[in-house]
Amino acid sequence: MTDTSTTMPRKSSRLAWLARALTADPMALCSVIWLLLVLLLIIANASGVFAGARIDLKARNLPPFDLSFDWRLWLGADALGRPLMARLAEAALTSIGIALITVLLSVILGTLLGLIAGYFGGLVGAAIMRVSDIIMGFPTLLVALVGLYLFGPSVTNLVIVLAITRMPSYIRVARAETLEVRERLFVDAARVFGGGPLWIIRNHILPIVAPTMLTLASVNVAMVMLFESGLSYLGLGVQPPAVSWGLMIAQGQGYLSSAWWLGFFPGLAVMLTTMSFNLLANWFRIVNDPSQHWRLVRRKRK
Amino acid sequence: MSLLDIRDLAVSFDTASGRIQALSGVSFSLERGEVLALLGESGSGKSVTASAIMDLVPNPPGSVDSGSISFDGTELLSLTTPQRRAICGERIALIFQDALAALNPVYTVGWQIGEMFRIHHKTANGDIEAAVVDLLNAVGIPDAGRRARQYPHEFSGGMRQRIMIAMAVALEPDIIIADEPTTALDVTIQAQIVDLLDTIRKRSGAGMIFITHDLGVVAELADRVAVMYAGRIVEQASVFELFADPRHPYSIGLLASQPRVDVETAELVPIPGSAPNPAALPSGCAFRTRCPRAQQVCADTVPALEGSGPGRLVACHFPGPAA
Repeated sequence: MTDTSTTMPRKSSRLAWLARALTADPMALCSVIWLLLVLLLIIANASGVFAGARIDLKARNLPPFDLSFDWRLWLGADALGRPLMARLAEAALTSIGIALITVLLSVILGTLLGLIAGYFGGLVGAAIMRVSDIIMGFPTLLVALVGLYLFGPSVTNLVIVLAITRMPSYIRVARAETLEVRERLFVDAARVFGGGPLWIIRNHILPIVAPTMLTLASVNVAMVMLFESGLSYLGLGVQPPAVSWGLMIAQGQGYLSSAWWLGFFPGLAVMLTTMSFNLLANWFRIVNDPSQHWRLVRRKRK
Repeated sequence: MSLLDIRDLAVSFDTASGRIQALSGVSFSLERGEVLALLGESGSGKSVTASAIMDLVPNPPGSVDSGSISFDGTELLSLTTPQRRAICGERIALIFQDALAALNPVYTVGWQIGEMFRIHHKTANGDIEAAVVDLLNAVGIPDAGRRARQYPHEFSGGMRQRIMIAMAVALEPDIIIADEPTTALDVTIQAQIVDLLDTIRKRSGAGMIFITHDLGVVAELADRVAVMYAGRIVEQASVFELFADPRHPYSIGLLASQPRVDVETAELVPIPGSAPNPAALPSGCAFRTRCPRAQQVCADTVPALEGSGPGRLVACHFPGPAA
């Protein structure tokens, strides 16, 4: 018992324990490194490291890995001679910002509504479910297009429209999980021991539902990034001169045969970032599941 | 006045095959410091009785149709849900049969025992940890400080049941309802758990309703026994009277079908037939289809639970000692 004990550490050593669990999962570690790199790029951009090399007409469609130029041009330059690295950094903030805010908004509201619909049911539950059915009944892209056409394309509207169209899937999953957990004996036990509905939802249902929602959210980060790029491509998302990775891919499409790096690097960034979020979410789920702890803290086998 | 007084309790459930009367006319009372065993086979309504007391009957499909549950002078059935919740846990506690399912897998057992204090705000937050360790020590869990920070899946079945008991007695309730707490455990552990329950109950002077189908446990623990069959109490007597001289044919059959060390019987006699389908109970006395004493009157009228000797109630048209 003592050997395999995964006793939850006190708060002081919690951080050290998380670090140990992180190093035990190489994929999660790589994800963290990539996301830190992106963060570094964003911070560098914000602090004006790329300000000196905005537009350089001599460097138009400069291919990457030409080390004779300034280091900021190592990833190549776009059709206006702007260093791709600077563009990627600026786009990173928009893309990840939109994706994270959208997903946070929809996961929080969706889980809340799903918990209410699942635990209480009745008229309120039915109303929540029918509205989400209606939203789900329309193709996401169509709803987004109409919404952005009506209210005008802006980052705020983009976030709101995407959050609303993504929300029904969270509501459905949260409700389904709640319906299942609600019938478990430990919920009855909490009721018997005197817990009210809020206490039970917060302390007994949410912790069981949360990992599922987190996994769904991490998948949705990728989806939202792709939707955002699609809408930007159609001209209803991020508006130039602002830039997002999706917009960069769209703009690079015309140069696919002559300057592949214009679309390739933002595409790679989208892929690595979405993958990192997925892998990290998986790691986070295991970390928070007491009966799976051992996967991360077990000793190396010889 | 009794601590708990249940009168004519009726509970029914809607099912695909019609409305099932899970309990009808169940009446019993419990005094402070007394252990009442509810004895009966599966589906006889033992657990439903516990659910009704704890407000756990799922509605719909189930409902408490009539009767009264009076606890310490308060009519539980007329209270609002929050009022009832305040009584549950603090003054009436339930111990579940399946301790693993009744414990939330994502919390340490220490947190879950502490939950009792947090819900009822009875102890200052700083004192909860110490109170939890005291409770774990009291239910015989060694190395309590470390074990409190472990999760339910890291405990054995017997240990988990001890944790359930710790949760149930945390706020020193007046009544402990134990719903087959030993059924899922092996025999050596069963004996330990029964001993533990007895010790803890005696220390706090609480009344206990012990639900079981195990005659051995009843003999060891109970003061009084209520035998249930098809949603009704068919016989109520002190444990000595019931074992020495059962009067209802079902009680007689139950005792004859189990091996006993104190009576020299060559072979066990099973009760013929099987428990009736609760959706289609026989008219009159539900036991008559399996009863050797059945007459026409048994099919016509339901026998009332009537006095038959001191402290003994029997619901039978032809009560009497075993032939």
